[in-house]
Amino acid sequence: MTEFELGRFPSLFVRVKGSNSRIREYRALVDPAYEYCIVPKGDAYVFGHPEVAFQHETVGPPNARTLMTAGGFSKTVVFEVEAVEIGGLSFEKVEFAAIDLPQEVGFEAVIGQSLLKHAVINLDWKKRLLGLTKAS
Amino acid sequence: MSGGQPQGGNEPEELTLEQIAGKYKSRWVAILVTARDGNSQPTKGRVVGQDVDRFRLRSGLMKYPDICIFYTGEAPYPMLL
Amino acid sequence: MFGSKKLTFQVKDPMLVMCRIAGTGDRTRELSALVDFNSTHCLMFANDAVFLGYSDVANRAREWREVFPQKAPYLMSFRGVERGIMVRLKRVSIGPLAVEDVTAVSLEMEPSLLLPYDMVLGRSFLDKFKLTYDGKSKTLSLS
Repeated sequence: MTEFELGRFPSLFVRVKGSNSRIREYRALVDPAYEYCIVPKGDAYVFGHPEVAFQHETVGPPNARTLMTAGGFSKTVVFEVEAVEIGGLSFEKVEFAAIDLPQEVGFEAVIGQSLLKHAVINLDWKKRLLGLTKAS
Repeated sequence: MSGGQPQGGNEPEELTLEQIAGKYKSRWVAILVTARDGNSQPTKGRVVGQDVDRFRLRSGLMKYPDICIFYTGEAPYPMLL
Repeated sequence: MFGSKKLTFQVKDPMLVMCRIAGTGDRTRELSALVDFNSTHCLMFANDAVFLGYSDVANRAREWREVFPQKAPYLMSFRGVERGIMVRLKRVSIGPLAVEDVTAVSLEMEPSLLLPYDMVLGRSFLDKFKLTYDGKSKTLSLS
């Protein structure tokens, strides 16, 4: 198990490697209540997905999915990245949704179920520890 | 995964994450990571971009193949999903 | 905190469990709750809170904040900055695990009723437990 210090929110630095080998690293919020991991639309573009700029609500690009969010339904591009590195753990072929979270939140990436379905999370608020293990 | 390289210009000074948070309060910063702890979490880096607006920050970062972006402040209010 | 030491249960997508909320009188509601350790407080719909006797939430948050600023806090959500009315729930329980005096917020702009949950179980409840979530087996353990 890899253990991280637990701050005000369970967050850690994650390295996301796109299928075009470009890398973006974020302080991401860990939240299994989200079905997909999230990165900003601008970075989906960097990872080789220019279709994020195609905003047509009815037609949409072929990899657009309708997601239910706190703000209601939205059509969002979902794509696969080559790998995500968290600490010493590496997760291959993880699905991400391209969503711009409000910047007041202070996080622009979320680690959701599409990665956490391969992991076990331990949260100990008293010891301020966040543990992450890759599920076998 | 290999580290990113700055594309020319003067190299910014290496700072710890605490120093970066102190110098660029409540800003979105982009750093080239220069040191990591045992958990591969960044501990030091060179700031190559900073802005109060993360969308504006993005425009100067396309040239970096590998960059770390984070907010140095905290959400001002309690959070709900 | 009361009850047994450890509880492991299956969660439904996305992180849904059933929990019981005790009101100010003898009223209780069993609600489908989203477990979210990133929410500082629990979140309730106003009509459930009123049914349970927490009638403060029927006020307009904007006006309530002028009188009781601490009871109508600003909150950050993934919709942006929001306002809500805070109440203290008498007792929240999942199975044998129960916590008393749990803060919950009813938002001025309520979440969509199409969302598959009736409330969010936030840190005001979850902070009292050690939490383990196994994404593969979709089990949540609280101890």
